[in-house]
Amino acid sequence: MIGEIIESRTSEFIVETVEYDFKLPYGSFIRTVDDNRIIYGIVAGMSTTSIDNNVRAKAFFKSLDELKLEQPQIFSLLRTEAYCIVLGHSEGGIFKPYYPPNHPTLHLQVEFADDKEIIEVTESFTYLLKTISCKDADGEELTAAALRKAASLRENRRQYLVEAGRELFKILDYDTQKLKSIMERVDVI
Amino acid sequence: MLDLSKLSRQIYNMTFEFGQQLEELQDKCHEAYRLFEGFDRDPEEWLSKIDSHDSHFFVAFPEESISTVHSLPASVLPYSIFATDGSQIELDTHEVALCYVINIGLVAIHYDGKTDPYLDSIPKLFYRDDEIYEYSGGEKTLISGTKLSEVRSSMEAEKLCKLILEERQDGVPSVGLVDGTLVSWDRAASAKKDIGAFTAPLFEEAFDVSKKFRTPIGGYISGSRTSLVINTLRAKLCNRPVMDCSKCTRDEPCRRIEGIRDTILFKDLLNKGQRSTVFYGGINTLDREDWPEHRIGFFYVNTGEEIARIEAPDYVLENDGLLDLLHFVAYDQANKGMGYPISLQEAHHLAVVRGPERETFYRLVANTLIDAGLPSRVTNKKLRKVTRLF
Repeated sequence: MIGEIIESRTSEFIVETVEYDFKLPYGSFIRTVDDNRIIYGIVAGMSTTSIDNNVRAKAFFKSLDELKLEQPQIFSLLRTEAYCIVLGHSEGGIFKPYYPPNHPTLHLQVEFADDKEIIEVTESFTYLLKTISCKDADGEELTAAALRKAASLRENRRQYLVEAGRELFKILDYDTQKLKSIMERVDVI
Repeated sequence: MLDLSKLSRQIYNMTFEFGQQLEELQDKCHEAYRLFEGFDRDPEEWLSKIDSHDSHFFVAFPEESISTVHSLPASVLPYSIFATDGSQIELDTHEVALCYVINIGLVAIHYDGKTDPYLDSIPKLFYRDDEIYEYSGGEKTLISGTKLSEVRSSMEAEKLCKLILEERQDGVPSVGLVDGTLVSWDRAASAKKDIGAFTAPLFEEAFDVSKKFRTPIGGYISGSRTSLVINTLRAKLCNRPVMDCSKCTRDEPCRRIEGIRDTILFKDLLNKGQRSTVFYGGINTLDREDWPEHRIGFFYVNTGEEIARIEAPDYVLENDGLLDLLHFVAYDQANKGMGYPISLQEAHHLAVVRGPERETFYRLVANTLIDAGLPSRVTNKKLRKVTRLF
């Protein structure tokens, strides 16, 4: 387990990670098992804040080692959350690139999706529509991160990116500047 | 709603009068310092005056000369600190159920750079007749604020005991702290007769554990308003043959230094990190063997931010090792917390029940009552307070 769902909507959910200093890499693919359904998502943003929403962490102007020795309790008062976008779900072993009929149940455990699952989720390019149009994160940045991960798992990365680029071009309504800006950030070839 | 415009004039008047009092305070302080020096030269004059009658105000007697100053002991790091603090959802006769909750915050911090701190809160619901009513003289009344504080203090003591037993590490010095006084003060008690007013019956079990494991327990009092030492000094100003304060009027000479707190006196005496000598309240003529078990004394310490009063039982105050440990840790904790012990701050934050949490608690009680098919209704007054008519 890498975290637990603490807020859930049809299109997105928030995961609290197991430790305050356990950070999920931006753009990593994750999954949660909800009864007989596996719901897949992508990490679209992370934040570490105080557990008390009204109070911000205080600056001590000391090194982390010094703080661990002098103020060890402050680290128990922090939490790290991941904002995740729902990419689709799988039922009976078949991946469906659309939202599940029910949003994920609260307090479900979350895991990293394995490479085989990521390949399956990114087989069709529907996920690009989800990443580019996510509302509370930088869509272009997230799309580039998703493409980097998806392409890195393919044997023929260039071929995958060319096909993804064509699809993205349509999604972007043939905006060459935007496509260029995204593809420049996919440096996995 | 509060109409601040109507209050502002009153606030101005209050501020003006405070300013005047401050000037009077300066004069009182000079008088107190004069007495202070005199006491050290010949305390007998004071002591015999205080001993002349039973009915005098509360006083405290120093174990050494009153102006003795002890420097900050050498560091005992790494150490462990245990702290508890309580808070409550008060009894509300207008709510769906007659009950109250006491929530205790528990903190154990180990400054060894490797052991994780233990931070938790433990709530307890009180709803039985013998928990929410008091019986005195055949009368049955709802539990008073004083009694509720006692219940809270005994829970704080019980949880502190638990922390010492479960979180203490062999060979690592440790200290237990609670917020506020250890004694169950009874202001009506006679200072001379009721030595019990200077003991802490709620902490007896915690003291036994603390003694066994050499973990001193202290009550940390920030912003102390007591004047026990000042009261002792006032005895010299008494011009009556016997010091019977119950017969005095407001114009007696000893009133000249009334209103000064002990902390003002020690502010000039103690440098950062230093502590005063140990004081015991109550009777000064008692032989050591006649003391009640675990008599509570106190000392003042300059934390750098304020003069804090630290209360502790006699077995701590009479043992140089334990006293130095308590002195150092109280100072170090206040420094780590930038003015107030960090462990007590965290215990407070864990214990405190916020407004929305209180609302949620009563909603949960109401829902549970409804689920069980029991009546769940707030009084009309409560209803109209939350749902205003327009």
